[in-house]
Amino acid sequence: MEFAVEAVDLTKRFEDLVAVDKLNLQVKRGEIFGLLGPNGAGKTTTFRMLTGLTLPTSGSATVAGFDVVKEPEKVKARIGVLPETSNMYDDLTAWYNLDFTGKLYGIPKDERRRRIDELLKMFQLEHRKHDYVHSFSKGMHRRLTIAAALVHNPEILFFDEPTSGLDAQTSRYIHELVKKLHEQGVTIILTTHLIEEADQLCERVAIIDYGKIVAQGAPSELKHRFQETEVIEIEVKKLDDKILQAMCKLNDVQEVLREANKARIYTRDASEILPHLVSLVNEKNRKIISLKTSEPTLEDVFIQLTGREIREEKPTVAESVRRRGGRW
Amino acid sequence: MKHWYREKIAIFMSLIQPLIWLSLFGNTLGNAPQPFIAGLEAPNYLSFMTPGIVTMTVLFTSLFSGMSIIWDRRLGFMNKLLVAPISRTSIVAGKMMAATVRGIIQGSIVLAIGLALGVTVDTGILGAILIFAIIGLFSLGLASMSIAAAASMKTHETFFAFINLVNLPLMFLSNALFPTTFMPEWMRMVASVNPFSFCVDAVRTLMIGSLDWNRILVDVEALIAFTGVTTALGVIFFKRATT
Repeated sequence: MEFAVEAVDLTKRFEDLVAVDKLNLQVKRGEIFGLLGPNGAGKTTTFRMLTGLTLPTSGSATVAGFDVVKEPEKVKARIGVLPETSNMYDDLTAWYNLDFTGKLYGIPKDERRRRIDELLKMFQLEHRKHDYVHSFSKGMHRRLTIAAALVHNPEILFFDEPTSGLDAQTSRYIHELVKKLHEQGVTIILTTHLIEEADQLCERVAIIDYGKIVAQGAPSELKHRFQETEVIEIEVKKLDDKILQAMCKLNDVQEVLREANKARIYTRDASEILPHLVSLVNEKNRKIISLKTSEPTLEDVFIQLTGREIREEKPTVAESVRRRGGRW
Repeated sequence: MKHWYREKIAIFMSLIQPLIWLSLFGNTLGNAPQPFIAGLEAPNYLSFMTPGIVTMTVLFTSLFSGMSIIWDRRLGFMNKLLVAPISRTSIVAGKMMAATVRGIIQGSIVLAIGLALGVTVDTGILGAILIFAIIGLFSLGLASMSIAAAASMKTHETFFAFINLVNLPLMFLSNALFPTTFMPEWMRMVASVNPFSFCVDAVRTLMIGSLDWNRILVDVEALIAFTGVTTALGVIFFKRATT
């Protein structure tokens, strides 16, 4: 078994809409892999196909060595799945939730008990084990959900939006946990729309948009691919379309994007443009509030590849319909 | 197969509270007819009616059981079951079993109330056991129908609409409350193919008659046919909705 997960031309169609379009991806064993894309890109649909929640319209996927369509139960026995929303029974106790999950995965009694104790300790939930889950805070709830996903010692963990809705402290805890599990050899696949999360945590990232993978590789590798591009971030008083257009017209400018009061100028060599930029601003009698040059970030890579920011600008009608239709 | 059992236990345990609530509801239903038969056909009508009330309780409980699917789907538990290494058939079977058990318990409670009020089961212990089996069978049939509906409906409002549309006709167009001889021709015809009637008839025969196997067997066969169809539909719709 070479890859932990391999998807070949994976496609999912809902009536007219193609949510996932001949997607190809490979996740190596033991790595932390991120699926990064905006909402509606097809991340969740891909996630659902890889975890056996949905059947693909065409194409195939092999997870933990087994085909998701032909042998789903074998796949499910080897993977842990963490959906974005909770999947605990609120009116049962924490302990019972873990026990039930264990039974669901066919773990024999003694081993189950041992594992539950281990997990409760690891997740610092021992003191609440006989309390009803509805009384848990969001963070505790999440910890319990993760514990439940690990009861059967999965080889691969699928994590959908791991830190969504969580505070900074809990988010950091989750990131630490992911790293710890990684050390233990678990393959971790997470879907996220948070670029920093993908950048900091993942060994390799696949950027997905409109149901297709637009780039796949290590974050550093992806950034290198765009090494030619540097970014100048300039904040100007009264940043209007006129001056933006003038900036576009400067030599060697690849693209100019607006972010609130700042203009992000993409160019091959920032130092070349800088003087021209400054004189342009002066010509137009505007004041420069701040000026910064930087290496490309994963966010820049994303913009280059998809042509828009992940905190989207107003989509066209076609884009919004597509996105709405693609949501379950 | 162990998986059915596991699933059933969890559902069962997490619904103990509503079970208690529902059994109180069952109690009330069992008591309701009292004032009506006070004067007239006292023990006779009560005896006549009790099988109907028992079956009615089973009807309401079982028809509602599909709700668990709707809640599960909404709250994400369904996903938990769907990613576990158990077949979808096990999942739906577990739910059907759980609903059947609930139905039997509810029905039994009402029956017990009837017994406390002086109604008897003329066919003794054997009869009582058969009664449990028959209401179990009917409960399974209804629960499957409920599950089939819940699986294919997107909102709980549609589900409720369906349940309410179905339960009253099933109950009234049957032999539960009045002998079919009192009914107009068209009503009698409907009552004669109504699965509810078959269940009531079987239970009634066991309570105020004797072990009239011929009659009971006809009823049971009808119920088996009913349950067979709805169970199949339940599994089919559930599988279709969870792919």
